[in-house]
Amino acid sequence: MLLEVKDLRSSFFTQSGEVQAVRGVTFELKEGDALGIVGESGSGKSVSNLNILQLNADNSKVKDGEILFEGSDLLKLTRKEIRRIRGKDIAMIFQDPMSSLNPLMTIGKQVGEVIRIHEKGVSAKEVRERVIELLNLVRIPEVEKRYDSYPHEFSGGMRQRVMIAMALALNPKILIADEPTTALDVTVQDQILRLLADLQKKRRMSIIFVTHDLAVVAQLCNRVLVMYAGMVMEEAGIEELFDCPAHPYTIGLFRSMPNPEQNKDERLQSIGGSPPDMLQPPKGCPFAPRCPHVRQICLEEVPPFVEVSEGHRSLCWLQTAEGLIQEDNPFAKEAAHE
Amino acid sequence: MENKWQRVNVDQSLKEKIYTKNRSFASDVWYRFRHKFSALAGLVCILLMSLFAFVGPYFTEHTYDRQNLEHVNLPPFLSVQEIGGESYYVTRGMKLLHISPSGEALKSVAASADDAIGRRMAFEVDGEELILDYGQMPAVLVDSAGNTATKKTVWNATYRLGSDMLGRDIMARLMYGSRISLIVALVATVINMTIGIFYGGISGYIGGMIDMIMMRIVDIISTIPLTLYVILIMVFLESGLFSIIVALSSVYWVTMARVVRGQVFSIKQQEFVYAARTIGSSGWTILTRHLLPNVMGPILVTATMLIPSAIFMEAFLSFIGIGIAPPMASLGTMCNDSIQTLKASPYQLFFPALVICIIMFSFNYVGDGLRDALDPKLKK
Repeated sequence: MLLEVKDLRSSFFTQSGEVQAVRGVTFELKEGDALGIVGESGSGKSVSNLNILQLNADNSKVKDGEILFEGSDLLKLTRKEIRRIRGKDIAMIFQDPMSSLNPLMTIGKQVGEVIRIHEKGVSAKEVRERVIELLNLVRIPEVEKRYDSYPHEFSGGMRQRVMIAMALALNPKILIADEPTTALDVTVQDQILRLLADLQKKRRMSIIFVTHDLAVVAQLCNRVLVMYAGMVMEEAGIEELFDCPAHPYTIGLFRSMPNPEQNKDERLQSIGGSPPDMLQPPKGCPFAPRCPHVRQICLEEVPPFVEVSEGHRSLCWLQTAEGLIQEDNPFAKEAAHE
Repeated sequence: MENKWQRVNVDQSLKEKIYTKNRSFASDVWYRFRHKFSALAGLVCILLMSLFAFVGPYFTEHTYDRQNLEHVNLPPFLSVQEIGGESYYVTRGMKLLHISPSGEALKSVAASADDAIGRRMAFEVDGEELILDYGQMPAVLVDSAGNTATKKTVWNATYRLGSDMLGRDIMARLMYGSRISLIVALVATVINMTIGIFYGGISGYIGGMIDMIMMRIVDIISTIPLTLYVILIMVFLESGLFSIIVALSSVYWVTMARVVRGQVFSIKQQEFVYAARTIGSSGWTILTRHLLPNVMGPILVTATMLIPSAIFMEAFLSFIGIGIAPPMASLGTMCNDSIQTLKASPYQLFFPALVICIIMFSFNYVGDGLRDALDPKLKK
């Protein structure tokens, strides 16, 4: 296993108290996997990824859990050791390409910096050659000319390509992409996604793709994690998830996706309510207050992470053996149909 | 166009060509800077002042310390009396100073006889006798034949800006004085900048408890007026150029540290700093390669604003007598010296004061222009 995250818990310590951003996240990443992490804002998807590389904000701390990268726990490494992994074994790209590049450094220098940091004693000429090769790889036009350009001379899509080039510079084993297409317009978004899919195949790299856009996940990923309020709600293969979502929250997400065939007069369904206050997370299922199928037990206890089918798990009381035999269970009905 | 409906293949490179004008940040700043008159004028003044201070002394035979006691308190414009084809200037010591036709000060002649009751003085010049009648003011020269002298104003060719009470050339002293001012200002500012940048940068970048402690130290230093510190330090050190620089550099960095710390604090939240961390940059690399270059704008502005206050501080210290030691000239000591002869020779105060004003205004305007040029919000 390339990366295993086990029961990760991390919090922000703010003036109003402890915000429990991640509450027991567990997932695995195999070599060549493209894992999508979906969830709304504040669901802990970004935080859990920043924790992998120990890029915590000043006021945040990992409280518990293990992050095993090729068998060794990243949480136990010293600062110097984790720096050697950042950029080399695990690379990351961010949401906003507009602010992710240093405005006062040329593109070529910024991409070359990764190489210079991790490989001491590489000649300037070699760095330049490798950077040009990388920029060609991410399809930057007129690379020789653009090498000495500054970020402000680039469009958003171009900058995101530069970021990708930077992330790929040392052939990382894992690429964490934190909403890399959110800030881009749709045509550019599509270009970037195709580029990532293409590069992933070519380099047999694993990707963790954080997004709130299910359509994007469908295009790129083979496995999906649905997160809500710092917990994993559902984990499934991409087709499985779209065919038979096994959690009321996932179903809600699909309903709120616009469908071109839909009647225009009909309003888009949304999930009513808002996410829970993470200062005082509910003791039961975090989605219970908004869930259309809520039962008494949902408010009292956190459900177990049950396996619905092979490789498909769901955090819902209605999916448990006891829950499935209850009346009025949408998941039970489905089972009955089949 | 033979067939305008023929299908064509567009060049692939054209598809993704980037159509932007290439203008770097620096050229952008320079563009905005030179379109502001006051800033440009200030810059020109600074350049001229530096030429005056650093190259000027090679073009004058005077030095800051050579005295000629025959030529004390000569104003830049001499009102001479012409008689018998020769010009004479009556000094304040009631001597006759021979002035050449081009305005150079030559030898002076002491009175051979003084009739205090008749208010007349006799001078022997080249065997001829000249009578100075000081019964009327201003005094008039009369020769033995009874002709009175004609009055004329000539520009002092030996001392273009006059001489001081010890017979030293004011222009030469101004050159050396402004040289000291500029050296003090630049060296002190560079040292302040270095200390301030790293102190503030480290404090802002690390944050938390260390930032708290470092900033409280700054607060403590700045509770007492900085001027007082400098004076106290100067009392302990021997007066001189080096001591002034030490005194100024040990205190004035607090302003710079605060500015840098604030800037670093806001910039370190930006994504490119996170991005730098994700590729494994160390804290030091991030600080020196990513953060500090991005706060260079406010740093430069603060530095140019620091220069005039350093100049003023140096002049002030020298003025109250604990700065530059005589006979070395400084704008402050020159002002101080001139106080004693202020009523009779106001020009001795006027010129050093003017130079201080020019330097201070220039640096202030340049700093102002830089701030406007570096602030992208004011971009039109």
